[in-house]
Amino acid sequence: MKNLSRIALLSAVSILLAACSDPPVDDSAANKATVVDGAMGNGMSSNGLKGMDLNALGAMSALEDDKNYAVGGVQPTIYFGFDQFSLDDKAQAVVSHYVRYLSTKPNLPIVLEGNCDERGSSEYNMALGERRAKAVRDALVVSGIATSRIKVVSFGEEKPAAEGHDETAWALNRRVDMKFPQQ
Amino acid sequence: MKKKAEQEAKDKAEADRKAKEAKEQAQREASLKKALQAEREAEAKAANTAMVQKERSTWISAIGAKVQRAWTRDTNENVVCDVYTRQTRDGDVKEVRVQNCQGDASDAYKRSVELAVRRASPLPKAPSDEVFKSEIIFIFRPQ
Amino acid sequence: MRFQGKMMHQQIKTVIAGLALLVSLAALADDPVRVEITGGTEQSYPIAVTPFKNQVAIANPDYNIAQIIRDDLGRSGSFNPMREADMSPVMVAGDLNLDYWRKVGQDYVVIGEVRPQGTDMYQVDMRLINSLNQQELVARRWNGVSGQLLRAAAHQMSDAIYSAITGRGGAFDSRMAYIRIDRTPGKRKMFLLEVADSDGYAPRTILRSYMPLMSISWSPDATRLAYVSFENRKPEVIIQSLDGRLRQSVASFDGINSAPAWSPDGRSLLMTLSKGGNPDIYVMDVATRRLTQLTFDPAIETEATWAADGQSIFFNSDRRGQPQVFQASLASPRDVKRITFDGKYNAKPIASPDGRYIAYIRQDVGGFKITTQDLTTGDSKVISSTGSDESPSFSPNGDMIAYSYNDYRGGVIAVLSRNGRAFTKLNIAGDVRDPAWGPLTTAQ
Repeated sequence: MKNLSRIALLSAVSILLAACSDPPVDDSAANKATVVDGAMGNGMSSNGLKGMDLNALGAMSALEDDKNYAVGGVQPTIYFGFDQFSLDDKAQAVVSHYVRYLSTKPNLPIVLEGNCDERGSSEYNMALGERRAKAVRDALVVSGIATSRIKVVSFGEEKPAAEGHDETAWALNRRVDMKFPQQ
Repeated sequence: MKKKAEQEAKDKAEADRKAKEAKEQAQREASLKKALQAEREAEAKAANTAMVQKERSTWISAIGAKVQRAWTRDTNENVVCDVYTRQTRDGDVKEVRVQNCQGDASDAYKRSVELAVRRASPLPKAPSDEVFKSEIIFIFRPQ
Repeated sequence: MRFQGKMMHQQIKTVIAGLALLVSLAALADDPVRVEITGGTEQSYPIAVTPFKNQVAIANPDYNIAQIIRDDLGRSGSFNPMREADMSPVMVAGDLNLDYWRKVGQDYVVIGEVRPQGTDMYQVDMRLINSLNQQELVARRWNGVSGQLLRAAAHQMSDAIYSAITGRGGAFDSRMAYIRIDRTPGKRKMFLLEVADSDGYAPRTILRSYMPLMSISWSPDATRLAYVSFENRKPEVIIQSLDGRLRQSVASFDGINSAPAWSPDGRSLLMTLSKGGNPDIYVMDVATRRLTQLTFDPAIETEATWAADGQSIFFNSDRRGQPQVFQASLASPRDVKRITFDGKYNAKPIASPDGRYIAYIRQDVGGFKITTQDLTTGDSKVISSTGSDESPSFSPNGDMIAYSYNDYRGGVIAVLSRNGRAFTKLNIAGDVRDPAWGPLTTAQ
């Protein structure tokens, strides 16, 4: 019904003009109003569109420091190959180092943030980021860290550590950051 | 005497026979001549018809090539359409009618075959009146 | 911008078709001659959109109606609009001379006129004529158009021309939603959700956030957007009305809440949730928030999108080891059919509104590229020449695909015609990505 009435309005607006003659003048108020509405459609006429000024959105969470705290000179970051989520020896060494540290702090919560490089589709990367974070979680759990302490979050390709569009930047972005919010 | 009379009669018969033969010969020759003449005419006519056919074939090929080059369309639809066309002796297209299309031809496709003929106008001119044909039906076939 | 390789291919095709020309002569002298025409060339429509008379009455140079129409038609890949610089000024100034336009190869001619109707108010007439058969295809008047709405009126003219000539619906009087990343030096990086006209003009910000935003989907009535926001430091699915009156988080379970896709009837939303342990596709009834799980494989299932008829979905799954596109019907979601076979990485599918094609991104020589696949034949074709492509989104008529990629200065939103002939970077400044092409603004 709604569509029908809109079509009717539009045809009223689009007067068919006879060829080679002056088009008939249509200045009825109803048509004028219809043209304006018809031109912008419903729901989003330029005055109906109110930008939500949500400057503060995400500001609270952003206040949390995004920096990783290195313990014992080892960056709490684990890196991966393209489309990979398995931990290599270097990654295992980082995990082992932090297992030792976390064993001394049994009440410290752990957040694992999975990330990807920008290549490929962003939603698939979101899933891949979670897979990476969970791979690190599993490595921690195998070494005796309680699952209940660990929260897993994926940022997909949305939170790159390096902004470039080359392999150097990509290698730095395929990572899991370990964070300890109460540190 | 009798012998002489016989001889004369014989001579006359001989002369008559020769005359008759000569006449018949002449008739035969005339008839042959006539026949040959007719054959020559028939041959000439046949040759002319063949030439007209050949020239028309060439002419139609040229028309077809021009229309084919002029046939552009936005999308591919595998539909065959007949287009009736009437042209003047100079090749100006005077009438174009999309007659029938197999299957579901879109309006845009039907317009593409009509416009192909119009875009090709004037069509290549026929070399002689005998070769010329006013009406052409184009069968448009995408593949 | 045209692809040379494609043009060459077309020429070759024409030559071969020319050889196939058949001539059959009529047996009877009085019958019309019959001639077979085989082949023909697939080619864009040549059209001359002449400058509108009295265009000078409109002060703003951004409101050049003829140029807006030319740009619209050119982006579609189905038209080859003549440049204004190539038009004879005499012919443009004088009365319409169809013979001239025909001779310069312009099958279609658009003429128009602007008349002021008081302060910042205009009446605009537009006519579309075929120069070959003199047929007038469109003759319309837009009455009482305010200056602010002139571009919208011009897009409606493009749509009218488009459908009169191609027989397919238009797409220009519609909007594009996308994400902008504000990297103003000295300030914190900010993410903005913006909505612009389909050609990138008149951008309006409808949301700002310090945390990432992604994956926009339009409600089919064009009043609401669903998207993913990290404002609470995890991905959540948000629904927001364009007028800003409604905004709610509809999915914020543990793990991933992502990839929303509005159904064609507007009642449900596909999404990816990993609350069950790994990412799977769910469908949510928007009114009741009731969830139904559609995929059950332990692999990654995400990026679900609706088939045109709303009866089945396409999605990305790496159950074979790497991302590929699969299809499942809503009625029996466990009957899963693999759709993509060519290439090792095919992701982010989107179905064309006519149901004939899907587009997705494929990892190919030279990077990640927009690829289309004909669902009837199964034939797939890489159509982009850029190499970091993401987020393909069909125009409402299915003839164009918007997507984003990275160039040297950041994210760019481009429109590619589905036939691959036309590629246009949209005129949106800054670092932008993740375009979502909205439905037509006006019923046609």
